[in-house]
Amino acid sequence: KITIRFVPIGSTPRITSAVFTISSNQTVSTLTKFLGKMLKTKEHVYVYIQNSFQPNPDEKLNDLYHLFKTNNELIVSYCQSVAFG
Amino acid sequence: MAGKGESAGHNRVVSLVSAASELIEIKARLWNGYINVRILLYDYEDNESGPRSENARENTKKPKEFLCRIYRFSYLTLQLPNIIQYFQDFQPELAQRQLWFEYEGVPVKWNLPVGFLYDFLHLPSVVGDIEGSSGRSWTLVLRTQEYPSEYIIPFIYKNHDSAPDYDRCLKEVIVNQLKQSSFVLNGNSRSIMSLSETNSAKLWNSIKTHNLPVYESVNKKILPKDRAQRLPIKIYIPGTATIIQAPISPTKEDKTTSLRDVLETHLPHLFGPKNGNIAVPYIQGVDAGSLLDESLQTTWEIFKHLDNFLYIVVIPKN
Repeated sequence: KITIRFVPIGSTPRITSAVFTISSNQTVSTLTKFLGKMLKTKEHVYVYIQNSFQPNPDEKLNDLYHLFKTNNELIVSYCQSVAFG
Repeated sequence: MAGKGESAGHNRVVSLVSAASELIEIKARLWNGYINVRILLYDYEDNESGPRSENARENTKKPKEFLCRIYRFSYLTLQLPNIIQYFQDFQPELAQRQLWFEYEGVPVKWNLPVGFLYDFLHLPSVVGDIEGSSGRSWTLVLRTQEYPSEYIIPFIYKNHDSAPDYDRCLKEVIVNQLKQSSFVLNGNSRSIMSLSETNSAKLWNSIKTHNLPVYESVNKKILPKDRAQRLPIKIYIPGTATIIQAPISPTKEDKTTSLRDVLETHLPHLFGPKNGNIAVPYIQGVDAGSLLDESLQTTWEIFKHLDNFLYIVVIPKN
């Protein structure tokens, strides 16, 4: 299990609980689906790691965690439109 | 004695120069490497309603065929304009559809480089039959319906005529991959985030038009000036969902990291003293067995793809 912290970008709504633990073999696409549900939207949700890049949907959260974690959390920023060009 | 020393020094210079020119030659050969691709279009997908004539059924058996050469350092979607233009005579509505490719029933991930896709999907079936496979082509089926959004990234951007904007979708994916690899290399993605508009456009155009000098001139601004913090590497095992991406440092306790170190650490059941090497790593379609003990950073520098990731395909031996 790994810890993920969700951070909204711009005017995107905050989700009720920002920190989650999630099974480490899940992929990015699970994460986007989950966020879509939390935000009650059918629109595409853009997710960013380290406030800079969008990972591919098939990347494993475990790998991203070990590569890009900050204080033992993988910080995932999310947005409903493209944020970082 | 002096003479001997001189000639040894001279030889060293000669071998350095020839090593450098060999390197340039290897880079050029990799860059120009291509794959013969045969793209088939069946018309069964569009003829589902109404009884079919004998003739239509006959056509169903014989797909339309488009042959092309695609660089290993390129992406399938970049071929779509040509493919659409060619098949449009047979299926005019093609241009409006979200098109995708299928290989032996598997949706092909358009966001990955063509050379890697070939190695991952097709190479395992031709390994050991290198003689027979040379000159043969890779056959993909072009699909026009039932886009498998669960498996491959959907084309979310549309042109004003509501046709998918393949270019914009691909550009977004590549830029994000470049940011990701840049983050791994530099510990941040500042170098790519701060590229000027002109340079960003140049980089994308060089990828689209397959222009090595322009690509390298911009890409070197993204790459670390001296030492990489970590190396962006992805390891895949065909037929499985295994993708390994790990923090790999170019050196460990003053020792240069080799491909063998990485494989033994992350795939101990396939590589290592305990089991012997029961798999072969392929990089850019080449058996990388001889590179196992070379510096991984050097291998990365030479063999990395356009997105600055080194793709390694591990094929278990039979």
